[in-house]
Amino acid sequence: MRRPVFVGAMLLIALIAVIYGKIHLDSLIKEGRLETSIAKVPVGDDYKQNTIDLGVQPDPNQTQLQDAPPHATGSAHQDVMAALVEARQSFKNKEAVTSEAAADPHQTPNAVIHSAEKLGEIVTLEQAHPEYSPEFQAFYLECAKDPDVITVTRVQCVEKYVKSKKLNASEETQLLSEVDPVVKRLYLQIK
Amino acid sequence: MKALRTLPLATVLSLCALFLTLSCGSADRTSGDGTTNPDLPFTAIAPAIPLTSVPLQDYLVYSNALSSDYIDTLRSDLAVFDNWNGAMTGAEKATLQSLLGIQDATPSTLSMWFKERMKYIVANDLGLYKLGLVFGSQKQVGLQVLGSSSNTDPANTGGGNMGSAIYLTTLDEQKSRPELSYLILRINDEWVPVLSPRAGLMRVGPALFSNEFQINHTNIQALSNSLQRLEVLFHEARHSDGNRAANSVGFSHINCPNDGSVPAELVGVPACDDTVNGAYSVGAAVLKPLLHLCDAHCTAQEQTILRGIYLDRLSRVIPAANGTMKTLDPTPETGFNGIDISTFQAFNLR
Repeated sequence: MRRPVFVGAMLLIALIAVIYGKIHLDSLIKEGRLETSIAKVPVGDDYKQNTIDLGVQPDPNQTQLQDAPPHATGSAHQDVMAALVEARQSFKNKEAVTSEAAADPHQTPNAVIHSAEKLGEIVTLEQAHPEYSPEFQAFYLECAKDPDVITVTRVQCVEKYVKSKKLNASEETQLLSEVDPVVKRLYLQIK
Repeated sequence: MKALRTLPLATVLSLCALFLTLSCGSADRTSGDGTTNPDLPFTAIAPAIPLTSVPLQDYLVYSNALSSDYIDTLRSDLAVFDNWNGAMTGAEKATLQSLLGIQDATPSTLSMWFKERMKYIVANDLGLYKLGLVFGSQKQVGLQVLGSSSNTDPANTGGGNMGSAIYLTTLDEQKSRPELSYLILRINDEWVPVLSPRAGLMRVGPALFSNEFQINHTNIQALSNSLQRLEVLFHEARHSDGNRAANSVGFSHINCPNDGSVPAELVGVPACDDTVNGAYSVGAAVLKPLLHLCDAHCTAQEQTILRGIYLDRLSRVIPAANGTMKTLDPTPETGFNGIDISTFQAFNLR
């Protein structure tokens, strides 16, 4: 008599576990934490690790950038971070500016245009995702201070940071004391 | 700072190639007396035509060698300027008036300023054009096809002021060939004399029109793309100014110095101005008020890119160490005296 009761109880516990598991999995999928289709980001010879997004120095033996989060992962946060990584890479193209300016001094180098284009995408993304303002602001700040980034882009990053952070005059002055003098001069010139 | 004024590399290379060829100086003696008949008769120097208020898009002469797409696009760009209401801030107006030496900066006065400096739009490949060397004292014109464009990648070439380049090269050539009076260039059905940098010849290259270099990649005639090209056109117009006495002919660019005053990526490249009224400043000053047009008609991304272009132009103006920027004299060069060559004999140079 007691055996059917025991089996029934076990089945009930199993059913509860399955229902709980299903709810939990749905939650993970909804948050994008269980995405399985991982795309690749472009990796060139001069590809450098971006520390702003990962927060740690890369292990030179690792190739995890190959598996960096793609766009449209289903997770807004991952999409934003992937876009920031991609934009930072496109900003570090000073050599192209040099060669293009030498080839034709009368036209703005395509590298500058492409970099501004990427920055424009980030600004649009920021407008769509104000909940990630700290990430965007960190991005703008590191861009503004990075000597490897195209100078004109650095000036634009200062502009975006000041606006996003709503800096007051003294905070702005403090920021400008920390950036390259050419960046500071150009920022003040167009302010 | 000792600055070396330089012409754009592509222009220098192509014109050097031209005169290296000419230095042989041998005529093609195809007929008994060595003369030939030009396929387009030479003409007397036409009197200067007074500038009128005709729209910019109709004022310019476009070489037949240009693709119709290029011409349509340029006409569309200039129509943007022709239809501009001229809205600008007081500071923008003051900057334009100071830089361009005009009393009141309006679309009309800016248009007139441009017309004084730019008239012909030619293709980037100079090998498409026939050139004549006028030897006034000998009543002869030596004909040849202009040398091939350059050793640089033409895809990267946006534009260049050929009038000032040919004028400066002629001056240099006259040192060794004093009998050379000036050069004429055949554009469509006209022999255009290059008597001064104000001949108004601009060549346009693929970079001005290729999708890769555009702000808006889907519509070549988008407002943002037009503004980018208008900046280049006014930039080139400034290269028609200046005179030898003031060492300002062509308002040529100088090598960017390695003194921390300009972006590091430009150091050593002939892409800077050490004067407040150079071509980069002019292009930026014209672009700035035009950006107001974009407020309602461009995306945020397009505006960000245009601002980047504006900044790029400003970044090439070397600030003065003492805070007072140098101003170059824009008074135009007097130039060569035009000659009635309608009766001159022609011969082929090779």
